[in-house]
Amino acid sequence: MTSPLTRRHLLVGLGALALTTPVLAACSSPGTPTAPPSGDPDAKVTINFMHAMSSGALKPALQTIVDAFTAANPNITIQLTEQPNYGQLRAQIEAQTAAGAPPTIAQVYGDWAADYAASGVIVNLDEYAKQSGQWDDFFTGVQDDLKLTDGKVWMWPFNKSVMVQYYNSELVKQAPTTWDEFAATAAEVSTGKVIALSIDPGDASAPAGGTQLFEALAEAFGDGAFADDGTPTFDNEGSVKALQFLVDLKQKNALALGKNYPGQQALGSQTGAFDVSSVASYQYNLQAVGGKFELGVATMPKGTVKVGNIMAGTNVALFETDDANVKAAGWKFMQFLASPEQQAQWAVATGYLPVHKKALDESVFTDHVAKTPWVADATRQLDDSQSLPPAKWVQEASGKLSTAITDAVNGADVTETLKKAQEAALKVQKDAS
Amino acid sequence: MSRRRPLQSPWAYLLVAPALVVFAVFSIGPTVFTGVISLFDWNYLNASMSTFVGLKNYAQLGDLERDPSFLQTMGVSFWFVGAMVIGGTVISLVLALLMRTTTKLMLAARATVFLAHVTPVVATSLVWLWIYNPRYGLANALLHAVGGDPIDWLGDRNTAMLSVILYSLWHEVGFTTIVFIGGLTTISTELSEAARVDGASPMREFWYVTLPQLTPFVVFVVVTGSVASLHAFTQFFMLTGGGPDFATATLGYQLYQQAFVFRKTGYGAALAVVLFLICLVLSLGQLRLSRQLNRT
Repeated sequence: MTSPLTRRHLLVGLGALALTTPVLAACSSPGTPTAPPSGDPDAKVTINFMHAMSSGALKPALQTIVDAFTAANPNITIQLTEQPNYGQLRAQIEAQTAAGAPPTIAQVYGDWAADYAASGVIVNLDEYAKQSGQWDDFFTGVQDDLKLTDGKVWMWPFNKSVMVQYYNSELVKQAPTTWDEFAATAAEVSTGKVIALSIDPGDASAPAGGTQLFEALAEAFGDGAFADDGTPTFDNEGSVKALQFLVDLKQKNALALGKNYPGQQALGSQTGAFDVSSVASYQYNLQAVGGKFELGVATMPKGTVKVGNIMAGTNVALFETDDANVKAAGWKFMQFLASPEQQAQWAVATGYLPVHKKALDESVFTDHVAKTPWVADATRQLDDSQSLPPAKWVQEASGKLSTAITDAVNGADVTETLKKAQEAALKVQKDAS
Repeated sequence: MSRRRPLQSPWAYLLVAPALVVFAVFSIGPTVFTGVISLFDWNYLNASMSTFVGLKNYAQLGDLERDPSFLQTMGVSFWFVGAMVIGGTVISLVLALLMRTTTKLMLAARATVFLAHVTPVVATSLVWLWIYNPRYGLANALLHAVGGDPIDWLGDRNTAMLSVILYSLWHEVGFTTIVFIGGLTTISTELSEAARVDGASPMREFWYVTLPQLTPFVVFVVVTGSVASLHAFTQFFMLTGGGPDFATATLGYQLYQQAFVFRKTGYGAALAVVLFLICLVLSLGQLRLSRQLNRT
């Protein structure tokens, strides 16, 4: 006698299959410091570089680097896997990694790398860094940015930027050098249709440039919005002064909130006087202005404590693989990306800043600086600018700041708003830990 | 010869196997797997590092200090679903009654209303993003023309959900209006004529004669509208990103945020299971109601 297959049998079978999946999943050991593999120099190797350098001048500039590398290393083929933006990049990296087929190398932010390192899917680069010969020539801020909160090196630099102030030179005759001057100038030029500064704080899940500006202000006025280990410090003096600064601007009708690069929109439509954003926005801002006036660019103003600046842009991580030749080729290309010659070319073509100090001496870069002197000042800020701590909760915690900025600028009490944001962010940290 | 029940023959399984395999791989399997993930602290990068936590992810649904809490998310969801279902049904009914005649003008009006529904949500959301732009948008220009102060439509928690609802209604009523127009063509005109002969006002005629005959269509619109609104995602993704301060973070959107933005895969899976159960209850309710209506 045979019993027919029942729905219960089917469900039990599927449930059992699903329950055993995690047990059957491939095991991997967390990354421990190992020496870089030498690899077989005669072996033909193909490596995959997943990136989001897909728009404007970025794509051809990256292709130029790849062409130069493959010309010098004919046995290595670089397969570029392009993603339209960083959100898609992260999703694609993680989908491939979860499926057991990660890219060889990929652009990553610090908080992504924190997750990847904890999951044992990227290579610890401590020994690689010691043997590279490049480490000592990276700017101090860049070196710090390559480490996670465990103090170990997990990434190698690629496209870094800092914040600068773009301004309409017809409205602003001389770039402010302090935030007090900035506030006075902003209030002065905000008449008629002009509102001096427009920012997008983002939202709870995706903090944007306005929140980054707040974090730079918190550095300029105090100790910043996060401690080195990633603990939120939204209710400290610097953070309170930073938010009060933005609220005061709003009260003088010199600040507006918007979405999708509102500073750039306002500058381009001549309804704004400033845009405070990344150096990488230079080409986009020039395009928005379209020759209607001369676009001024200057480094960030100084606060009561120092020049606060937030380093942005990504690094590159090397993903775990058993193939020593692939690993060696990936590491070779990572060093090539960070080399002085390539960094100088890359900076001139894209507006990003060179991460290698010797790139400043390359003739292509010195010519570039002769035409755009502010680039030299901005590059020097790589030494002092802070990047957000590479802890996995930092992005979500920054989202609480986005909400606080929006609320306070729309009239809520500054101290209370930050206190609430701090409590919410501490809970995020606790849950993530 | 006794009649064999379907699915007792091996041939039956063989014949339905191809469809069953597709359904199992793309629907049943992922659904069961989501249920399993909801019982784990799931490492999305390395499944072998996941740890079994039992019902902990479900227990977190009761954590009121969570930002946003599940209760808050459900409140936001019901606000959106309620506005879409009640508002959408009423507006669609009114539009259907206005456009029930088949004059050229009314046919053009039907096409116009339906056109909004067939446009891609991503593209039209981008257009509405500009309409709602606090500095340059059409909405504030109109407000300014009548002497009003500008509003940060999508940035202010008091107006963000209202703005998304307005867009969603604009996009969705085209479909439900056509459903009701279809329904109006099937109902008996004799009953309406009889009511008018007996002196019923248009309002009473609608209430006591037309609406009861439209009940199956109303049930269909309400149930499918509820399920679709619970699943709504794209307009929230494009217009508000669930903000400000999670004021527009519905259950469907929170599921995405928790699982794919904040990488809390286990908790996101628990939310998905809850959403699945709600939709299941609604769908079973619709089936039951439809059967009852068919019998009567």
